[in-house]
Amino acid sequence: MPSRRSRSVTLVAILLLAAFSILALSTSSSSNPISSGLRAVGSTVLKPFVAVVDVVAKPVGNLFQGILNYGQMSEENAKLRAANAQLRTNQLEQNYTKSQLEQIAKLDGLPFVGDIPTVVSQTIAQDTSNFASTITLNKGRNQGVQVGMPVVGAGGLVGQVVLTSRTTSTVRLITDGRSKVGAGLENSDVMGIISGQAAYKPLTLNFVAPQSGVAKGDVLYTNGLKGGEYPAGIPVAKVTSATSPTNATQMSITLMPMANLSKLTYVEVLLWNPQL
Amino acid sequence: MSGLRIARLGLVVLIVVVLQAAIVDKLRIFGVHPELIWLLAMAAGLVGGIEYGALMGFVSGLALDCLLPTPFGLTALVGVIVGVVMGQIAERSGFGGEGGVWWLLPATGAGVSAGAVLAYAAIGIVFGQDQFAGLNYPALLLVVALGGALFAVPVWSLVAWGFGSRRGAHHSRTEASW
Repeated sequence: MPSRRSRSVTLVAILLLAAFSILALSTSSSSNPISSGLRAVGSTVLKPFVAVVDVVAKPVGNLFQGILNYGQMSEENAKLRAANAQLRTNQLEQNYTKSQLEQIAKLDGLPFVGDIPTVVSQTIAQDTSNFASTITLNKGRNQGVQVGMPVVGAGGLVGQVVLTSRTTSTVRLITDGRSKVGAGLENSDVMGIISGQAAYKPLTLNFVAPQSGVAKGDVLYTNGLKGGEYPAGIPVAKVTSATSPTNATQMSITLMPMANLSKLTYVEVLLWNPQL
Repeated sequence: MSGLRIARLGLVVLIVVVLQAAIVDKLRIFGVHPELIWLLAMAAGLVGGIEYGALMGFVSGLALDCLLPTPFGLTALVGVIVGVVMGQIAERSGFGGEGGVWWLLPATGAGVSAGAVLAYAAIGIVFGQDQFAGLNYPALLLVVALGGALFAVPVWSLVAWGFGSRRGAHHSRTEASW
């Protein structure tokens, strides 16, 4: 009979090896059938529990947000107390509905979508990990959403679907450190790669030769090159600074997304697969 | 390991993973949320020793990985490491999470959470997740450590309940078997 010590060592070695192997598989290829299958099964089992608790606990989250914004809330409450309660309620409801409709209306007929079919989705969660900039949508494989599909919002490109379940999907935002978007200026030969850094940090445009004529205010669009992950012509970001440092091999360019990534209540998933 | 203990610990994992995904993820300060998952492995290591710590870290980490967009298996790998380290510390020092000064468990929770996040980032970078290097680590470590301190006692209590004894498994090794 093995000693307790050797039993511990064996168990720990097996678990480390298993975790290491799963990690190696998932990082070697995002579509590895073993890791993606395990993730899909676990996600399908756990998400219903999460959804139920999410609904039940929503007031707790609202309370927490209220505590964090206490000063602002107090001021707002003082103003609102002066108004008629019923009128206030009606007005808020109307405003909310109007705001939602406006956001959906903004998605209707986005010029850069063209004739690509789309699925309008609602954002149900944001940044589920401290290590990734993502949103979770309420549409998944059942609605035709697949990994790799681009996601747009009012203004421009939002990101790309990286995970799907039957009823939800996870979108990596263009601000995420792993996001790379091939882009170019309109009516110009200038092309480069727009890279995310992290949430709340500006985007950067890389591989643009010095003195290429990129200037503050220029808008970059997806270039749609063969092998690219996005269709051509989607606005991605606007240049906020562009300099050519001495002796540098490329320009130093920072950008801000065209879409307002802090207000993504509704977005559109383009039912378009990368041209491999 | 008895069937009842497996069921209780399974329930504990489910509760904490669901709470993390449904509630704690939304408790954002500086855009960062606390992370309960490391506290599960920590508590299991303290209460049950190395084997339970490693198992709890692996299972809970893999469960949470199913809900995250980050590389699958990364949380599980760091969870195993946290469980083993805390189990080792518990078995050598005799500290199982109770007794001693009142702040010891919260301080352990803070330290473990911060350490786990750094390990997560470091291993992630080794596995090609270069974007982890650009995160706002002062805010991340501050919030995660504060969360670790705040939630260490509740999570430890839940895990101790899962073991069916506040004294835990490694304090009564003669009867514990997995």
